[in-house]
Amino acid sequence: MTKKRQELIRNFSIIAHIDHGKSTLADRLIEKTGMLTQREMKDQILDSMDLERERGITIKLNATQLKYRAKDGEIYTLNLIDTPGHVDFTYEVSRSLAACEGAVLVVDAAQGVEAQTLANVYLADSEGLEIVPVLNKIDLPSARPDEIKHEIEELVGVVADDAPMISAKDGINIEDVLEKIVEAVPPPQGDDTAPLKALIFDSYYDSYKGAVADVRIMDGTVKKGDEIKMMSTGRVFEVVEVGVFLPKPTPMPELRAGDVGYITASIKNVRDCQVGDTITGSKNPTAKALPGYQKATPMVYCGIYPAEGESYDIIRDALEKLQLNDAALSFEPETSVALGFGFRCGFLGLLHLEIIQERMEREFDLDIIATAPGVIYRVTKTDGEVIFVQNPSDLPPQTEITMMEEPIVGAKIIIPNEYVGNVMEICQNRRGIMLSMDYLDERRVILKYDLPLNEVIYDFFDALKSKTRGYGSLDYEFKEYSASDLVKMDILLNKEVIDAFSMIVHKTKAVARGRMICERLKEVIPRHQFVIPIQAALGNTVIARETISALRKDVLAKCYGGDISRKKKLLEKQKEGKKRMRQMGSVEVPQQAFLSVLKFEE
Amino acid sequence: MDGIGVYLHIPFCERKCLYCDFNSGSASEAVKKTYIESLVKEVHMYRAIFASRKVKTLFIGGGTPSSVSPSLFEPLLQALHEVIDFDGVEEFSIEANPGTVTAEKLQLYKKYGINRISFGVQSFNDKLLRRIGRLHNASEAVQSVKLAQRIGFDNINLDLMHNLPDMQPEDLYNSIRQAAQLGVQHISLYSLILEEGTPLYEEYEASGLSLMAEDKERETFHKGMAMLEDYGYGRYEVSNFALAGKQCKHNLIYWEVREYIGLGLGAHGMYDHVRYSNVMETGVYVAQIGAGNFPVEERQALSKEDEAFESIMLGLRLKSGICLATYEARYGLDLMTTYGPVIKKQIELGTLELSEGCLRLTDYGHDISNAVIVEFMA
Repeated sequence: MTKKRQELIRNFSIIAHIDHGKSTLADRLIEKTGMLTQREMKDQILDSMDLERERGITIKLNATQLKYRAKDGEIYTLNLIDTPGHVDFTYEVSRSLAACEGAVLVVDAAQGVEAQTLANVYLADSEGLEIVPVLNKIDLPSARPDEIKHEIEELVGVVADDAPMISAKDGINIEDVLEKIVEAVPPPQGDDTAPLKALIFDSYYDSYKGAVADVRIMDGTVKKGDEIKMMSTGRVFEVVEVGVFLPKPTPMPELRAGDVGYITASIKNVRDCQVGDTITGSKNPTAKALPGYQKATPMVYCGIYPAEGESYDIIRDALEKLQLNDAALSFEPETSVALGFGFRCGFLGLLHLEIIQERMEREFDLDIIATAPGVIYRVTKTDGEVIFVQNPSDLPPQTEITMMEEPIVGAKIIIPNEYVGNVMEICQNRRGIMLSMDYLDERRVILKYDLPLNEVIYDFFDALKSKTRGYGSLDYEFKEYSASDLVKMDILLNKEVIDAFSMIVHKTKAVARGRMICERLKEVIPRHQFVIPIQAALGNTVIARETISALRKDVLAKCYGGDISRKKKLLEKQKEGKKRMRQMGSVEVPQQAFLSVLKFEE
Repeated sequence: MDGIGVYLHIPFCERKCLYCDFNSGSASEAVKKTYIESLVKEVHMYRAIFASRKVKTLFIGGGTPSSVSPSLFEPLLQALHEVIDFDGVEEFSIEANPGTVTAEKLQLYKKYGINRISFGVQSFNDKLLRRIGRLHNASEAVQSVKLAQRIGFDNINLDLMHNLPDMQPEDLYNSIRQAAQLGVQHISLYSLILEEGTPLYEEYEASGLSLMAEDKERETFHKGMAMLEDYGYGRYEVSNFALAGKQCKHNLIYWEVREYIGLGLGAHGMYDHVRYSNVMETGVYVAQIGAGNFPVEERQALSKEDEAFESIMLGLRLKSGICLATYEARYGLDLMTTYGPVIKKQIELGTLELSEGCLRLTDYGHDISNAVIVEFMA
């Protein structure tokens, strides 16, 4: 009996903690199904961005189609839709999950389930996806498959008895995973004949094709020449090409219900191809758009400004292009007294912020200045008005504030038990409130804390990583706004407030942080022709101070045989260096200063 | 028209000093001979200019011009006399290193009108001299100066260096004292600059050098300057000090953006609003001259604005500063109109002062003259 077309399709994602082997498993699946020759097989195909490869994590989504002849003799089309593994990218995970019917959960057989993985599994479960657990790294001497299976059943609530036991690295039992996907993941159940309904789960900009939509076809069919409509904007385009990922984009005659592929339609404006939007036919549209996903809410903000010599427009263009496949990135224009025209950007977390900054620098070759990151505070004014403030310079004067509240996150931290003391100390120092501590097994502990988000973004990850030797894992989600003793700390250079350095901090942290910033600035700001006091202040009260003494000597000696041009060149070089600095009132501040305030290494 | 300057470069040394990144080095007698012959030809190539313009100053610099033997050197001096009318020449300097001068050489210099000798003494502390790779010692310096004085030179400069590795303040004071006691007319006091590519720089990079802390270094320099003033050597430029009327006229041509012809390897000139420089390779230099070409490698025409800026960059080095009237007369520009805000700010910061119609650096301004001049750059 021949099966129906859709019964031979499986759409799935892989969920795994960083380093638990997701990318390696994806590579093995591609290899096993013969999509690429060994020679073409560059390690970890799916992580296409340099940055991802360097950091060993997946940020951007990607998809690939695998053809697999199962034990039942049928050839199945398996569409693997990649997901990022980091806590900051929960939103992106939900995008890829919405395009799938199943999720392969990869767990390190030695380390067990991690906090971030758990968050993503719960997400998949709530989307109604079938969870397929897989135990990786079973060949490691430290593997404890039975315990970990038990842990999966406890934590995730799925049966893990017959979970494939694999080593992605050595290619052991990879076929078991493929069989399990065919067996456990339900086939799509779209209607070929219904009006077109396609979910954009990713998009990117191609200089030749315009904006490219990566789609999952829910219902209907789409082919070249069709007129399609973007349901959120109502814009209509003519399809130029449809195709699938093999894993390179490969044109096909059409895409039908249940398929995963891409659509190009000479879409010039990236805003017309938004991730989460539904594509339908312009002549015979579907009645209702797909729910899309839960809109990601930025939690961390910072200002991004063009460095000297960069144009504001180019920065905006880059942010727009990045936003195309990273809807969680938000930005709006803002103006800083010190930095000029720039953007206030919202991010999911600190890693997201760092990645966007790095992508702007690497992929777009831009020189940018980023201000210190902050969160959104809820401020109740004396006149009863409630405002949300993310830019410290928007904070009303202290006398007009009745109450300030800060975002608190609920954090889950999973650690080996020997680090419990260290982690409790970290949380305590960051104003955390412990809610519970439970043993997952003999060695692993899950701690639940309420933590102020501004402490988490400050240096929590770094501290957790160093104090648990990299074994700690963290997941957090917004919980509530809570009243807090917050103050605006200003930094003054030569008695002038520099708005770009202002920050909102908890009163108990102000002195230490102010002192550190003053010290950092003293290191990076060159000596001037005058003495420069660097001060941290709360209102009119100075809480920390450093002094940069005046320049003592800057003179060229002799002019060898009338060689004036050499002297001039040296001065021109000096002038160039000066140009690269930012004039802040009377003080010239190198860009490095902004980074040194941003980065808080203890 | 003003008389012009002539600079001649002798790129030979017996040995390169550890701090030197200048266009110089040791060479065989044959190379020296070929070079001097080419230089003589180059002198002749400028015959037309020398016929139309009076020459006010000449300066033979190096390297170590005094290391060239009299028999090789005399043809060069003869050539200069063939093409230049010496009636207008007010000053003719030569650089010499102690230990390389002999009575014979000095008499030769005198015979051809050289009336000023600049000795590269650097220090009167033998240990420091060895430290920076100098070949002479303090007593040779004293003997050389005395020899020159006996032969009749009454305009002598000593170069001294400050901020040498392992130097103590007293070393500088002692050097100034000894120089003054020798009765020389002019003293140049330079701070060591660690130039990339020199052995001293390498050492600095590899293991660091024992140098005075900046505050102490400045204090020592200022105290040294006060001593010089006490001995009668007035500061007339960042690094130059002279008895009344004994300022180096040739160097003033540079600072005042006047014209000078540069001759020899890597020499720089400024003539008819063009700055130019000669080729840096001896082989190329000799070949170009052999082919009858000017051995010029780079030419840069200066706009009126370029020249006006240079007059600030260089003029501020002088104690006399830049006189507004002179500036306006030369460039048709009003200094206060162009640079009013910069000048005002720098006066407030105490680096510039304006008096009797001239703008000049204060003592502090001289210490950080680069930072001040950069403010005048567009």
